[in-house]
Amino acid sequence: MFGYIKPYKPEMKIKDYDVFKAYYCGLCKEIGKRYGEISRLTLNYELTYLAIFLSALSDEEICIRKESCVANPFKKKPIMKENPYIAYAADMNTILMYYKFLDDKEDDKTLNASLLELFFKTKYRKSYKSYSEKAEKIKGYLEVLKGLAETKCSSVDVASEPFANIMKEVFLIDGLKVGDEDYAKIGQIAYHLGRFVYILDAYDDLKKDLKNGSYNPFIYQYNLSYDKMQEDELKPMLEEIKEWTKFNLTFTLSTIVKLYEQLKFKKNIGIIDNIFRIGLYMEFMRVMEGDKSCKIRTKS
Amino acid sequence: MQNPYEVLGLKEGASIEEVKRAYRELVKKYHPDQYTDNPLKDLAEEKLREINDAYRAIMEGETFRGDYANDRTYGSGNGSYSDSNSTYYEVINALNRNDLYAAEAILNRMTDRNAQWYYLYGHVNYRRGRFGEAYNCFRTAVNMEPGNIEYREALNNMEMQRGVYQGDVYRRTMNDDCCQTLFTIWACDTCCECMGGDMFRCF
Repeated sequence: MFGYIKPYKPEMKIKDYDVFKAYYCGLCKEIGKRYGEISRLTLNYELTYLAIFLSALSDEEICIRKESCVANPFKKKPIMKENPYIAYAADMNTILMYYKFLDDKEDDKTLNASLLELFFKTKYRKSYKSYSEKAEKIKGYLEVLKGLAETKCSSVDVASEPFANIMKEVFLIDGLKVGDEDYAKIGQIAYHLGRFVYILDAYDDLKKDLKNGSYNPFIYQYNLSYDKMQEDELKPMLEEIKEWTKFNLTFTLSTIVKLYEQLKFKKNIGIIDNIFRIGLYMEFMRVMEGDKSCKIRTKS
Repeated sequence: MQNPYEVLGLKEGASIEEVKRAYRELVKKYHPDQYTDNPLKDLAEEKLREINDAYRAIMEGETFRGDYANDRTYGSGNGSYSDSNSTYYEVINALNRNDLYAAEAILNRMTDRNAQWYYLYGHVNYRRGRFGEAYNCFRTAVNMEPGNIEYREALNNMEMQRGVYQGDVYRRTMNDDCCQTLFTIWACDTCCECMGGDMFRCF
């Protein structure tokens, strides 16, 4: 997907980094085990974070073992084993990837996308069976997303809503043992995270979309057009867009942190704290200002 | 949630001035700066959060009530305003019920879009999590009526929350003295070695 939700490594404790890697490798192995090696290529930070976040709210037993893997055949690494939230994240990953490939297939009709779609169809069916209700809801929101693109929605905030709702749906796993109030807060955090990811991605793609003529809500909110507008006319507009996006997303992050402070986590606190308080902002600044704004770039 | 007035140590129906004064005093009392290296720090932070929430709850309610009160006196002498005023009243009511869809629908039907329209639309957007739109609306309201304190306060609140968050990120990332320390050690070590001693053995 995107890879905007990740920790800022320079400010991370090594023990936290090790646990983060254990979840990451655990999810990677789980996806590989269940859906075959090729599926592993779809792994991303968003879903790792999902597993870490949900696991942090629960009391499940933690089992970390040292194992080697395809990427590192000679060096054993700590890997999170038999974790229900990693299994859940793997299912969500498959459902989201399948819809993505389905969409790609419709978009460019290349053989590549069709093959991937075909390949993922069988994997998708397995995950769909376990979470059919969620999958249907996600599908519904994707339809809304497509509708907004077709009607050229001219509000970035509005265009981000279906994706925010998908994120909410994905985070709100059934059977989470928290009170109603906390449950609502988790939903809100996920919603705002979704907004953040969608808007940042749209901003990041703006120039590309402007050239290709693809839909991007920024183009319609600010009435941009590549042929009619000269470079010098475009430049102040882009500057304005940047300032607006900076405000919008920093405010979104501040709202996430406010909600996060009200939740009680049982573990992984260092990782979650790093991501919410620093990691998201650093990644956001990297997109807005370019690589040099961060002292040290988190290796991805 | 607790009664916000009780949290601030006031009786229900206290005036805005009293609320503001009580809030300022409590913030001073529980400010984290007063509790550095104090075991009660967490407790103070918790309390401060409650105070902030209570203040916000009262102010949000008051803002809407206050607007309405201003409108009535404003509109009573001028017949042509009464229509839009009663409509704004409906919007404020819907906002107080937290019925955002109703509030939005009423506002969308209105064609006369003055500063207050943008201000109220900003609140609808804010509560729906459309922060970019809310920011634009509050800015428009302030530009149209620069003298209005309520509009300005709404905009300031957003800017402040953003500023507090950004300050926190910088505090967490920029003030590490690690490099400073390493540099000092290196300098000391170099001096020692010049004079034949060694503070840290070379590898």
